[in-house]
Amino acid sequence: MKLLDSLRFRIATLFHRSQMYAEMEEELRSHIQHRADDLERSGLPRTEAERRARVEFGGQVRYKEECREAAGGTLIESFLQDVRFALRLLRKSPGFALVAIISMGLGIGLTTNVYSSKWAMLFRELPAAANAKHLVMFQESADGDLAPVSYYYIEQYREQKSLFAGVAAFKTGVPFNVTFQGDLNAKPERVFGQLVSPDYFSVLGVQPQQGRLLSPTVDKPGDAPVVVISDRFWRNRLNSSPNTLGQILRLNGQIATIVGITPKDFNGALGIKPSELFVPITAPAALAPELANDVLHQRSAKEFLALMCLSPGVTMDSAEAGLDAITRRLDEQDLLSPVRIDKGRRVTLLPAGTSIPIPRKLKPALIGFFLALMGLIITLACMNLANMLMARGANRRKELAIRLAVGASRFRLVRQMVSEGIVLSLLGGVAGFALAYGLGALNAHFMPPMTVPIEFNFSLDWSAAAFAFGLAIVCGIGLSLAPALQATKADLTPALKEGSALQLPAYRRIGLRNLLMVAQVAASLMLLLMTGFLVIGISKGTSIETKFDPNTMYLLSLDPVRDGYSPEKAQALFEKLPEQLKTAGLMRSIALAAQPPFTSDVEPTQLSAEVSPGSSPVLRPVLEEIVGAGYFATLNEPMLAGREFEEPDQRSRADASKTLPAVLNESAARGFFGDGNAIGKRVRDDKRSYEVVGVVHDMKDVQGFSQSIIYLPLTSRDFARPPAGGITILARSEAGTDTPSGIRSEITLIDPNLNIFNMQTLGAYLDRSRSALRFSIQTYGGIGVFGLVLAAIGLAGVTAYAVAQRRKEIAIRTALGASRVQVLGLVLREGAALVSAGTVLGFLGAMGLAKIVSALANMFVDALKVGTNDPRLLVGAPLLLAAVAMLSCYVPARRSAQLDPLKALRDE
Amino acid sequence: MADQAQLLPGTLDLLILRAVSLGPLHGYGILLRIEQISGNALLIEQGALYPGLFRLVRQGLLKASWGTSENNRRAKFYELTAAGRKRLRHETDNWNRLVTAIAAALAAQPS
Repeated sequence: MKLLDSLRFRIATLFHRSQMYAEMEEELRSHIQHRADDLERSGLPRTEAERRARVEFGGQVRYKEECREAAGGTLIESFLQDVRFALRLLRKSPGFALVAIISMGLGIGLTTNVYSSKWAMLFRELPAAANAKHLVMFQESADGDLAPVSYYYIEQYREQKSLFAGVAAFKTGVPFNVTFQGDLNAKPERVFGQLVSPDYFSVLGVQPQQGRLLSPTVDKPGDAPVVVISDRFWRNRLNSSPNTLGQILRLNGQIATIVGITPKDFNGALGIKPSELFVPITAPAALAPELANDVLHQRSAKEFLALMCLSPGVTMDSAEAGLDAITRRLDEQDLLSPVRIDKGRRVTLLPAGTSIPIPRKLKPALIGFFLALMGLIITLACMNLANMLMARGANRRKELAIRLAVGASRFRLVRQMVSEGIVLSLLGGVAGFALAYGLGALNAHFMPPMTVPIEFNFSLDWSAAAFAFGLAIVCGIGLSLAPALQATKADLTPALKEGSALQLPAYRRIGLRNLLMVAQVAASLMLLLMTGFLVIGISKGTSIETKFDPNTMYLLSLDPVRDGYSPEKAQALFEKLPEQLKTAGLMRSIALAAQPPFTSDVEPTQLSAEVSPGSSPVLRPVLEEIVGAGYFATLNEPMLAGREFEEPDQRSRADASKTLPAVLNESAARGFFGDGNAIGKRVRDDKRSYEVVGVVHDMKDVQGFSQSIIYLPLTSRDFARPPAGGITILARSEAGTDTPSGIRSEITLIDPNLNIFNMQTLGAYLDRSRSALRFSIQTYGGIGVFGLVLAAIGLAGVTAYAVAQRRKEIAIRTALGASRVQVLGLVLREGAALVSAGTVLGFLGAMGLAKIVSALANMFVDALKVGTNDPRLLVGAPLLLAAVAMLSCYVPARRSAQLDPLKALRDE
Repeated sequence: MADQAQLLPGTLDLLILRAVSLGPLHGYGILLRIEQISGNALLIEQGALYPGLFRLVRQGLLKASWGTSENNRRAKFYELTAAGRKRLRHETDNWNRLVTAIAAALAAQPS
């Protein structure tokens, strides 16, 4: 009851605050009047009586404040009061406020961007998957890619009931040409989905949003084809139609019934490549060419990824050991894979409950890297603001001393200064959130072209907002507390007497301020160097030299099998298409390939040179590109030795017994055969052997890397089962004579139902790839420059502060005959000491960090190796930073030298 | 002035409660009443009274209402609530015990 009353009182005071203050005023006035009445009665004139009454009453301001606190409702109310006061102060010094908000905004914005784009993506669990914590997938050896296995293996794994609660098979990035029923004339759309075993959803622990998901008891081979669609497909392509269930879609020309819709945000396992359709592997092969040739029963067809849910109580380690033993046994039964001679583990388990499975070993390195990056950025911003607040606090000593003297408690002043810090950093948080939003949109815009679209979750959700503003509040408290405590520590008398120019006790020794300054220079240099390493590493030779005008080459893709062609008919099409386009006079040269040229979107395979029996083969990772006849001629790329593929190679049937021809690039040839002649030699993978018929120059990919590549001929197999991107046609014409519509009409002439997709000039394709690269360079560069700018602002602020404190000393020196240069030197000397200490520390720190990071994560090694050896960066960055830092000391220092000694001394 | 005693911390609240227990009073009236019942022996700075009054109102020991004073001026009158009356009894007992104990301790002769 009492509690309730007091609560009501507090709320009432909060709402009737102004009324209450008016009453308080009136009450105190009434007291003074009553006292004056008494004094008047004792014989004083009225005016004198009132004066005396006021004096006797004591400090009205102080008692009013105490009354307010005593009346309660103080926490919120005095916080609001603090906030109002802080805003008023900031309005009075807009320059300071602007710089502070910008630097906090940059810090918080960049950190939130890192958080939302990387952190959340790497560590957020798959949406709607109840079993996310227990899901695993596996990779071959310790650092390979996810290992596809044959369906037979998955059936064997499924038997291990003690280890796994469930094992599902799936294949992701499977394209479907989709036609919507009732829209018969429409061109099909190309949509990516997954082929999944019927137990897939129960292994994931996903429940349907509508209808049913797949299940082994319902979905049997030979049933009428069914498909489960994702929530996104339902919303974007079916307009959330309420009659979706039971509706019919045409997938690759075949009919399938929609039986269910997945929950919101669920995009399948490996969600980074979002899947919109889920087709059971029990579907007929006509629905998905991936299922042709009875792949479910071919032990050599390593087509599926295994998605496993651990049994309760089973650890990753014990599951890994068990899985390794089974896999080894299965491999040994399998006489077709003789190449592998590995010791160690064959499989490594990865947690699979996120949109990208991350190896357990890599996780600490990734967490560490992102934490360090985020920490460095936000620390810089905070230190900067702390420096500025400290300088400001020192300038406000007189104001603070007066307030202390008239009775404000130190707690009250500190609280107010901290409120000021929070207000600043919250404003910075707003700016930062806007910046993060903009960066996210830009990130999504600058995606490199990929065969299967990749989606990073850039959306800023409530967790990113909570992160940004939580960070802002923590930073605001953290960075303003120390300056506030320091500024209110003052002895009143000297502070009042000397005002803002008071010398702090720790002035020339290693004070907090100097430490902060050194740390800031060091951290800025570290940031500048680290981002510089990455920028130089990424941009090293990104220019791809095509030996012709890339705008005269058109790339387009066809996938006739998914338009309903039989494999034979598809092959016939690709055999006559180049001739037809050439005779139509459209093309100078034309070639086919299973991937776009200069792509960086290829997985490496393990190959070895065939050597005399007895010596063990050395496996090398080589990128495998599949190209048709006349490919290199079309790219204007001369053969260094031997020949390139010709029509007969393209026509050959690819059975395992037959040796296929292959072309190596220089790096691969040198890797396998040293400097000797490679023509006629053989290499092999675990399926077949290849005879080298030609060698070409290394060509850089769109990311600027030049790697070992083996080119294999397009064969009937590729025509029957085109890769996810379809078959790419490279068509080069004379400049200016060609139009895409010419090609289009020529293909429509052959068959109007063929779906032409990804049509663009080579120039446009390269531009898109490069703009993504440029964007990441600019992002890293931007972060580096951000550090530089912050360091400059901080140094300028601190120097200005130091100069302000020494006005008296400088004035006396000038009056006694010191020259301007001497005064300048005096001020700059201190700045120079701080800058050089910071530079040395920062340089050592950056080199150490580069070593640690490249030891932990392979993916940075290349970039860092190039960067850490670049003398321009190693010498340039510290010099640049030091120059900027000294410049920002110089500006306030020069002002000090121009000080008029008479005026300065009079002011004191 | 010289024979006036400084107020012990925490005793102001007790004095206010005691002053008001004799009937509703406004702030200045409370001050006069305290001077009167203590025989002018206690020194209270006038303004210091008000934070105490606000505190007691917040604690629900006093309630306040506006009225007209004997000087025909508007003033805020304070009176005890039931809780305030109880608190006054309790605090008075405490105080008496404390005073007796301290007086006994000070009066004790070394033996």
